Amino acid sequence: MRIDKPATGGTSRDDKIGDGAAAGALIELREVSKRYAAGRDPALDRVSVQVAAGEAVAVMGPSGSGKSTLLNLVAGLDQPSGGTVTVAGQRVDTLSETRTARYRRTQVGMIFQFFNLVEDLTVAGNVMLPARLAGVRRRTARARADQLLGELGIDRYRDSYPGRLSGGERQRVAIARALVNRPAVLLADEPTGAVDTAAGRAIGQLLLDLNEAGQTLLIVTHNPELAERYASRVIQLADGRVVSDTGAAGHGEAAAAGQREPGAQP
Amino acid sequence: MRAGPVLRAAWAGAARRLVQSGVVLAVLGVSCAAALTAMTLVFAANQGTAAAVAVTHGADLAVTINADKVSAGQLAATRHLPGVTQDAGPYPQTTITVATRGAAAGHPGGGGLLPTGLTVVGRASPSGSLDDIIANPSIMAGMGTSRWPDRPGQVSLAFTTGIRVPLGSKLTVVSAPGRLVLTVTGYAQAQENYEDAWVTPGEIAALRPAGAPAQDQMLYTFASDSTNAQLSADLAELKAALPGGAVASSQSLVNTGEGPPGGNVNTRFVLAFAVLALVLAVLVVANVVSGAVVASYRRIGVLKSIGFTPAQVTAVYLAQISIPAVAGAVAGTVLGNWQVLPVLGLYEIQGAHVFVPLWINLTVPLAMLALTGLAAAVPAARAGRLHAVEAITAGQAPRAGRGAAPYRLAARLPLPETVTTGLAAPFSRPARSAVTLAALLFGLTGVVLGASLNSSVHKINDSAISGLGQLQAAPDGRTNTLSRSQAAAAAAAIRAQPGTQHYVGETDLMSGVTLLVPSKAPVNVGIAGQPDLPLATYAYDGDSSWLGWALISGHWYNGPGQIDVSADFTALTGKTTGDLVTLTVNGKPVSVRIAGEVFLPNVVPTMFLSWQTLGGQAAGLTVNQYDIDLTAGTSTAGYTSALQRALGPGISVGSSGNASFAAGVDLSLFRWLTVLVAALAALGVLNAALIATRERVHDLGVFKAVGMTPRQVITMVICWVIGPAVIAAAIALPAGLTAQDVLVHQLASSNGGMLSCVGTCTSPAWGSVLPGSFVHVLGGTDLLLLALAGLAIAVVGALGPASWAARTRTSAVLHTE
Repeated sequence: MRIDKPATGGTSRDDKIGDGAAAGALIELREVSKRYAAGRDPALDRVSVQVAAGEAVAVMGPSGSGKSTLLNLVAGLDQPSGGTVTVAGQRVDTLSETRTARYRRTQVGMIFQFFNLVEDLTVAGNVMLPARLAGVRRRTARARADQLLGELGIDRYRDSYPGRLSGGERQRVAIARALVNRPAVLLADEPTGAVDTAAGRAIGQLLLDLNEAGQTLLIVTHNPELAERYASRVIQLADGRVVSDTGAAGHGEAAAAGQREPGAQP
Repeated sequence: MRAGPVLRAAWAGAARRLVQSGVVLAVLGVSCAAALTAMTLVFAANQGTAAAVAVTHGADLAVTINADKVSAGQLAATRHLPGVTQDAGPYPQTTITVATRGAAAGHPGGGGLLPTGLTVVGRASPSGSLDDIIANPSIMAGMGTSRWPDRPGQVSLAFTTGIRVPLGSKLTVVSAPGRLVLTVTGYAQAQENYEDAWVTPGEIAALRPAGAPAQDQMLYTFASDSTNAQLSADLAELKAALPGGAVASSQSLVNTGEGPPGGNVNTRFVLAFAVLALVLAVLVVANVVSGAVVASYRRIGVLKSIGFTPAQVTAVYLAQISIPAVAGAVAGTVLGNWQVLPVLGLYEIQGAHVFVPLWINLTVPLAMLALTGLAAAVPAARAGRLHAVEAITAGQAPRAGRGAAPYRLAARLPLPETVTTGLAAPFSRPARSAVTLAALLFGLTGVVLGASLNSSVHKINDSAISGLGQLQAAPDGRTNTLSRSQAAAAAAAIRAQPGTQHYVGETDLMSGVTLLVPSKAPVNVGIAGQPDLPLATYAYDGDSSWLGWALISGHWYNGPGQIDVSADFTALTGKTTGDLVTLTVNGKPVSVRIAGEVFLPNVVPTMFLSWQTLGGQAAGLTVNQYDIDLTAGTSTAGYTSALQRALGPGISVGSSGNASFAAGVDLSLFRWLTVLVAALAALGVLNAALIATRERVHDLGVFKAVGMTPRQVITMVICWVIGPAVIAAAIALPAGLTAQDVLVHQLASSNGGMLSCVGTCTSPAWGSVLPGSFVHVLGGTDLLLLALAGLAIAVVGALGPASWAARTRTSAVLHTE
């Protein structure tokens, strides 16, 4: 599949975002914590992570380890209780809701486990939506959407509604939507969690192709096979903390040895 | 079926959806209050006092006896007739004609009272062996403290006559020898309406017109009294027991032809309002409840997926809706009783307890709850029959192609994406949008109809005094006319008084009324060829075009030789707008043309003209009063005081407001019903917008996730409701106005002249013709404001959940179902 190289400066008329990350790091979390309620254990506890441009990073861990929280903070869907989040040189954690929305249009492509497509819009309408919000002309947005739908093999569904598609097809629509503005970062939260195995493999291959074309990926998954095949690096979280940050092969060896949960006895 | 899981699921559903539960509670509350008010009024209007109130005692039959045909002993013996349980009397009785001010001297009195026939009974005390009359009823508290007459020269009027002169006013008995004057000491309220006024017993003889027979009133109650046939039989027995010709007439509660105290005045309008409130209550409850269930289809699917049977699903939703519905029905019933009882205060009877019948207090909430159950059960049962997956996806996945065309069309507009997306969104979910549209339609139509009916009723009720100016300056009763010098001085004072916008001298003439003392007026105006036709004439010495008499047709006269006439005039003379009429002015013919017809329900035909039209005969005219209008912002009280000081003694300045021809029913009832209608409408619209937005909150999270700013979210949501609101307004405004047009004409034509009659009504039906201004009461600005109000309510309903979504972190919104 031919995927355009991501643009790092956005394709809209939105404001240019500033600079602040460590040199070479596209994404940087520095001592980031997130606590949802006072007195409860933090979802993230002083996590520091850097992701370079072009990397494919898998974030793994058991339920409640903070994987999705980390992703939401990078996407600006939530705000940390402490620490800083910087993407493409821009402090994301201090943005207002409005500026966060603009940031998401141009810098981030988000893929959710349960797709989160707008049921009232057609497939093409869903894909075009971020582009239209970013001010792209309708004709240009439609052309871009058609291109992506074709590359993803679902152009025949362009006038269908998401409710009539299979899970795998819906996820492809979500991927197309996430790519329409050529974001600097593609964030995927359990992208294969709601689809069958075959569809999951196909989606994984898509993500691999994207990364090979230069797209920076941050994937949350509990699927070691996905991490092994499609990520060059695995960050293991447990109880809101990074317990390991290794290459994918190292993780795969650990998995083959018995898939020990962090902290568990071999 | 196990009740535990069902009730738990129902309670959880109701508790989690507090806003929706609150709306259901409010809708049921207002609906029950409206329905209870409506039912009570309908029932009372149709059944009369005996059914609407608890009557402790009162007379079944009032018989007028010719006193010279029967002895006291013969009358006393009637109490022993079989079937007679109680009797009272004889009370002396006569019929008189009263008038005030100008009318008393043969000049019809604007701002006062035209010759009015009254049946008067002499009673030493309001309390009798058979009935109790309330001498100082609370319903007339606004007039002051009423007293029962305790000496000659005093009269207490039955409040049902509709006469509303201030306490202490002088009524001239124009039918009595010597033109006696009675001072009004109060307004009393009787259980029955057998007489119009009360004086001391010794006064009757002096009031009796020359040549009229002496009569007495006897009151009876019978063992069997509930039907006309039974009372007729009792009356026949009574007549047989008395000498021939002794019984002059009789009345009973059953055959008086009157409804509740206050007569039929405005009753039909009240009924129309009541029916409107009832219909709107039913529609809004059905819409709100069914919409609430439809919005929960996904949850229903989830319940089914974990093992709830179809019957249990239906039970869950019936129970979930019932929790706030029952609370609302109880609250609404209490509210309805609290609000309707002051209206039923019309029926207050000393010693009797006024209440809303128990069967209404039970029927209304049970009926509204049954309707609620039906509205909830139908969609809940449907969802229960669906497979779990179908229920979850029902309404969430539009069929392919539906809605695509509106989006494409909207996209062609040179508008931002958020606006076009918002405008097109309702079309992708037609069923849900239809619920919203229906709520907007019902609400707006109801409010337009209610507001315009309210205005129409008030205008009709005020029509009799609408052409008298805000204030009148008239002789204070010692004389009825102003001399030329007095008139000139008064005019000068009025002209000089700050705050005077318009004024005109009015001369009131009367002819053809045989009971009057022969007129001493210098000018006698009649209709050629119809000397016996009662005719009231208002003649003006200047510009009278500002007076504001409501015209049915034509225009106000704008020069000599033109007149305007009342509907009674046209009916009795056969002449209408544009026709020539020959008047006789002091016996000389004067040809005039009818310029227009005035809406003036009255006891006598009336015409309006200028002094100049009366030609040379007008030299003898004198002014009876000055009608005055004030400039905007002028204090009426301050102006009255200042002008009174300037005019000095002999001329009184006052308002004719209390002399309305309306009777009985408190016009605030209309305001209460209008408030109920408006509240129902608002709740329906608010709920529809709330539901439509609430179920799309997750979508709002998705929009935010892909980059929609909070302001764009709000804009899109407003556009969601604008489309249906505009469509609803385009339909509802003309529909409401058309309905009001038809309804007002129907109601008016069915009144047959009873709407504004006082005392004896002899005029033919006027009601088929109303001035356009009484029907088309809402102007363009009013309609625009109503439409904007409906839109505003819809936007407010939508903005609640939308604002929450816009403000809240996107991750939290995405997790919202």
